Amino acid sequence: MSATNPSPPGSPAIVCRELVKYLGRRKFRSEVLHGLDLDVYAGQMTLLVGPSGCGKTTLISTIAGILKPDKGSVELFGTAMAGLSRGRITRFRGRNVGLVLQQLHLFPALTAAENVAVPLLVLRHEARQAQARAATLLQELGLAPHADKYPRELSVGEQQRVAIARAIAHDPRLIICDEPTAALDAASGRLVMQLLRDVTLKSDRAVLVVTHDHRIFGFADRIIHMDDGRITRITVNSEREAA
Amino acid sequence: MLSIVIKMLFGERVKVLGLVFGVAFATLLVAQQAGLFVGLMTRSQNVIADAKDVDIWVMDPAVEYVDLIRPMRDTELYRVRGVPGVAWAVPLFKAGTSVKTPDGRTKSALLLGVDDASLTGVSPRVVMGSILDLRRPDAIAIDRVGFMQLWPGEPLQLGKTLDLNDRRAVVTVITDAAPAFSAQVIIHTRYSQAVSFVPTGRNQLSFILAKAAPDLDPVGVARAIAARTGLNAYTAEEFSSRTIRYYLKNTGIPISFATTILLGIVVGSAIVGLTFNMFVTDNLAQYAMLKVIGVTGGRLIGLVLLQAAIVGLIGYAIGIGLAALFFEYACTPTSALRGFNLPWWIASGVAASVALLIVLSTLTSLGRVLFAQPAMVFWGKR
Repeated sequence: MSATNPSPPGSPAIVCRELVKYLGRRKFRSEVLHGLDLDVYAGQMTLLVGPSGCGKTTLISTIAGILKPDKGSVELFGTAMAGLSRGRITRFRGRNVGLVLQQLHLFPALTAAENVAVPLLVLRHEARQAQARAATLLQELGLAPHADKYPRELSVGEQQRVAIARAIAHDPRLIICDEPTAALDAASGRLVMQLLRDVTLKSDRAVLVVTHDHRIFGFADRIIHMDDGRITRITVNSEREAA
Repeated sequence: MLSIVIKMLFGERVKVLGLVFGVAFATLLVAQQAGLFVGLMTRSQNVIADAKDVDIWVMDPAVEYVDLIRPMRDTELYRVRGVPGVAWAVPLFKAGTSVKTPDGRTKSALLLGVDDASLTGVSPRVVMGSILDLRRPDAIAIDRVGFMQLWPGEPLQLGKTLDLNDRRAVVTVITDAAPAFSAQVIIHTRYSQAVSFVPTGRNQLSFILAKAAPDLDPVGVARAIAARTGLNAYTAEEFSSRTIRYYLKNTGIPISFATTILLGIVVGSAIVGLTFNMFVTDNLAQYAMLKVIGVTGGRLIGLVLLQAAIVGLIGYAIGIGLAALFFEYACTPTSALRGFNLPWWIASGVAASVALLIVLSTLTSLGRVLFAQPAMVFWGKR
């Protein structure tokens, strides 16, 4: 299925160089990422895998501009994050990054459609335009009948799809998913991954998925293996590459 | 975004109720107490305010406020009339006394004896009869609420008799005199009759009411009276202010009201602060998620302040509405609380206090929102 150390396939979406990140303070401070280099390409679904505590979440938080690197650099679609202020990073993330989190973090007081519309409203789109876009996405994801339901009225799988719709509502160039199948059974997990591939993946968009779940490795174009804050191996799904 | 923020706020119904209750409670308490306080202070100078057409009040130099009486010699009236710039000057007798109905009902009363000829100083708001009827023998004017307290349940009517220090008095006029600070019944009568109703010592003249000549500044005329006679002379406004200041400085009223108002603010702030803190703490992950989605710290603060402002506005509206209802229904023109009301400037002041309360109560919470780490959206898995 896979080959190691493949050649780069296209334009880089994420470029990390000699990335170092510390977490904790004073005597609890520890280096989580040790001078890490990483490239993620547009048009691909890249899986970031590794044991718990190896630094996956820290890495994607740093890539998304949620954490600031202590050393090294992060570039998203050619924009160096180091040169941006906190506010500009937040705005940049708002425009260019969509996140699907393990905890989902849907807004409980908002309906499915309103949840999906939030990123567009944050970007100051007109409410009507945002609602229309949310309705279209929910329809694409088979959730049209649930558009006016609150998260608590939806199943976990439906909530997951709402979270995916919210992550892509503003058409970001990078989608980051954190353990999207962790709470799902095998069949539901496969469905979500298929959905992620079908709905999110475009030639100009990169999808980076953090996972422990080896059952979904087949959905990846590339798999980046991490251990102890370092990238240990990169494998490519040759079947998908051939396709 | 506005509707989203409002929906997020009202998604937490119990906390919103707590916040609204806190603000409404503080608003009600502060507005009601401030209204009562201002009403009470206004009452303290109502005798001055009710004497229309009077520019200047003249009194013994020892008198500090309107309820302190140190009678002057009657001849002082002529000295005041002789001061250049004085258009006219009339006497006023003022004394506290008690009145008794024929069936024995007794009430404290404020007796005001006005100039026999001009009847200057009688409340101009006449409910029944004519001020000129005060010229009849034993005639008195009584205020409407006083009448209702002396003859409860009976319709207002003229001709009723009262016992005033073993002297017969006949009600010939019913007025709407502004309530006095402490007396329950306000009686106006002629000066010559008042001094016989309440016998005093050799000196009987409580105040001299004067009018400045046309085109002359009453302040200047008052200063001239004081300089020429050695008496104290103040314009009506000055004397009102002095009276209010006296009560503010020499009674426990301001401290009592201030304490209650402060408690209203402190308790309201505590309720709002704690509940808002709980609201923010419980929603910290949502705020962090908004940051992840692209809401900057400054904009997030704006949104949180908007949520607080919505709660404040609703709470204020309820609180000020309840306070207005109190003044509307408890302070009717015929009740003992008549004259107490909620002026617009108290409502505005309370609004400013509530805004301050909201800002202070939410400050700590705002800090938490501002420094909420977007990374906390990942914490659930750690």
